[in-house]
Amino acid sequence: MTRSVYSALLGLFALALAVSPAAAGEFPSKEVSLIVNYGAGGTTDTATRILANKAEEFLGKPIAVLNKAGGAGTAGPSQLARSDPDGYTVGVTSLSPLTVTPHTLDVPFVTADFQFLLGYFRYVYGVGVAKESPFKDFQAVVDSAKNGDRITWAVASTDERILVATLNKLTDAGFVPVPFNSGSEREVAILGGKVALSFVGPASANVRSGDIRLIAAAGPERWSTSPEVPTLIEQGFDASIESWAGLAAPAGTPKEAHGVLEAAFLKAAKHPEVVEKIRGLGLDAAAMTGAEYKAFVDQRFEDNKRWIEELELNKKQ
Amino acid sequence: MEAIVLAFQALLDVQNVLYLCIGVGAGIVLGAIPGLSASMAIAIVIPFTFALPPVASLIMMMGAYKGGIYGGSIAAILLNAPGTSAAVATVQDGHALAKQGKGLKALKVSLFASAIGDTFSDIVLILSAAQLARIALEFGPVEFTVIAVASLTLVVSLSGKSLMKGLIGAALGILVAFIGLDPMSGLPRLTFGSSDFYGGIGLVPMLIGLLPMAEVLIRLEQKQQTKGAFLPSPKEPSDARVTKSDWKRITKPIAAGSVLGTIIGIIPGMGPTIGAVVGYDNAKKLSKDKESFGKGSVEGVAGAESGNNAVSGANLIPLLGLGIPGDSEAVILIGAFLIHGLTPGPMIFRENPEVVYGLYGGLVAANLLLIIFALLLLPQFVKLSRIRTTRILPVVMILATMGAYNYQQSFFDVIVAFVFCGIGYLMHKIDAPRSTIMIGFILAPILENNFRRAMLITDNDWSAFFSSSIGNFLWMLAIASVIYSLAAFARKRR
Repeated sequence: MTRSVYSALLGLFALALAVSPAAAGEFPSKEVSLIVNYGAGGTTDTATRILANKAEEFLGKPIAVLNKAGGAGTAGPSQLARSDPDGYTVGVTSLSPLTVTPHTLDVPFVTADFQFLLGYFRYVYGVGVAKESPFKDFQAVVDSAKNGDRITWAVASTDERILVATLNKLTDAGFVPVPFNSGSEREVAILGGKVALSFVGPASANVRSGDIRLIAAAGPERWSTSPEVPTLIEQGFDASIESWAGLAAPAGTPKEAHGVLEAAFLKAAKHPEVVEKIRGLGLDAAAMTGAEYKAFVDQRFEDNKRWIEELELNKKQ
Repeated sequence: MEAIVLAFQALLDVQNVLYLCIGVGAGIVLGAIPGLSASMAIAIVIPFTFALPPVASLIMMMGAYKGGIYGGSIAAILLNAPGTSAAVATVQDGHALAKQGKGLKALKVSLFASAIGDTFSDIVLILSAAQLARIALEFGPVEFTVIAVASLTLVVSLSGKSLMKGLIGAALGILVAFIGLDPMSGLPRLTFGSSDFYGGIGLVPMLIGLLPMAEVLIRLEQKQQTKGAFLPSPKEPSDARVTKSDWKRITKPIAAGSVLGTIIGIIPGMGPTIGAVVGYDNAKKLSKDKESFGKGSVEGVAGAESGNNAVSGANLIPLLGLGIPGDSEAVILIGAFLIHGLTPGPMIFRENPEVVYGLYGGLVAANLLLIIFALLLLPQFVKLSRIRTTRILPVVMILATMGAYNYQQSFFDVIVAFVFCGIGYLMHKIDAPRSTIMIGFILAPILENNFRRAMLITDNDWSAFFSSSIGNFLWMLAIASVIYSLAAFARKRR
């Protein structure tokens, strides 16, 4: 290599130093990576990309979204826990992989591995029947089961299985949970009359068109799109699913970086454009600060531990 | 009539055409890179569409999807490295043709078969999405179980010389598919105590190891071959085009592949890979020249490619008619609809007809653009494969390793690819077909999940499997398929 090439490289290096705002302590000085724990194009991924798209404006640096799916949503947090705690890697820490899965699988992380930044949306659940079904509310389903009918119930996650098991315990109805891989598989089964009940979400076109009838909201609140349908709790069955998506940085991330990230993402999560788009996905756009999300995760971890042991969902049947 | 006017209006919009072109072009290139699947092509395009109007963004994504599925066959034919799993049935015959200097011919057969299959299923979609979508609802756990059993009989036709070796391959594929989390309880199974196995073995890294990586080892061994070009030049001009006699041979497989692919596309959860295998199997059964299958049959390429592309249009039938995505690519499309405030499903025809018909126009135009783009790009791709083998083998190895890593940015998948590279090499040594592993692997979860669901729903009543009329019809198809294939084997032996 000739001398002129060396000096050109040196010049470029100097220029890079001059241009980059890396005056020590300034965060962020470069791109931030965000690990999504589900595949590209799914609901969680799409909502997170919408959030990241807006947060870039407040952060002043690009956010690169990477997908790390697998292990029932635990592969993403596993990688996050092992990442450098310099503020340049954050990741989705949704509630189920953090508080449900650790009780059924060995996962290489604990809650203390994360510094939570915020919670940014709540998944919305409901109990649906096909429009031909005679059931109008949940009591009718329980009555039919008590009369000796075998009631099958399509589920697609451990959260949903816990709810069915809890209701079985509460009512002695003997619901048979039938696991499906995805929300859409579940929907084919209920529309085709292969199962009696199914969990559904507000994004479903068939709920909107009336081909699937919502008989109970399964979260802590009624659906904003179907305010006339009461929750399970309101109908006298003390059970609900509450599941959130949140973001975290690895434990040990400097305070300053944590503050900058939390502020930027919270501001984005509350931005009307983001709220509207997330609602459009059939999710409940809501925001929690990092501290609130941490308290929530800790409490859920203990609750789920108790339930899963009681209901024996951690054992092969 | 109004529908056609709306469709044409969408196409006259310069902006729409421009985005469609970008989508198709990006899809072909991304699909051709091993490990970057059609669904990744769509996912990469999505963020660029946030700011676009709904029709423009949807047709851009559909363009990327179709381009991606075709692109998968380019790497399959030229490098023996299927870019997508949908190209798995194309690999054997496509690459065999390329080795005879007929790479361009294979690519063109694949192109025309893809475009025809796709156009056919688009037309079925346009004419009758709302009505046909209800068919999907007839398929429950019982029917899917029978479909999976019937599809497993296709192993016979992919087995090549030895039925026993083909069956062992399929069994190995099924065994590998069991690794991961038990689909009913969510508890770990065959995971050797390591959380790396929780996600199961990925289809893409496994495919990359079995085919392109193993191919590199095999090529390295054949010393005299490494001296020349990776692929020979065409011996005569007819090797680079689809001749009249080729057309005569591929018409029937394309027609049958288009119809079968469309039917498979309507049933949610089956996907283009099964479309390709069914199309291939059918082409073989129809053919008078069964001997050439596996050794470079244009009919095989035509059947497989019309089969997988016909799935892509028909996949939109349950999506638009019921709001239910047929495969992983359609799942991503749902997200794209929702971002723009549209809910795919029965209401969309009333609420947003301009979007639906604009999308229809885009689908048909995408097929034409695919042909134009591909004919322009193909000679360039073929030139690449004329490079000396000693130079191209390391590049294939690097691309394959990157592809395995890119699948989900995981080093574990690279190890998986290397392990299956070893298995693929051994299978070549004992002359066992590698494609039957893939069939077993893809069908095992469909069979297991639905069988266990059916057992839960019917309270362990086995008679349920014989009391559904669709199920019984499929049993008869399965039995006929086995008898036919075994008879063919017996004839060969005599």
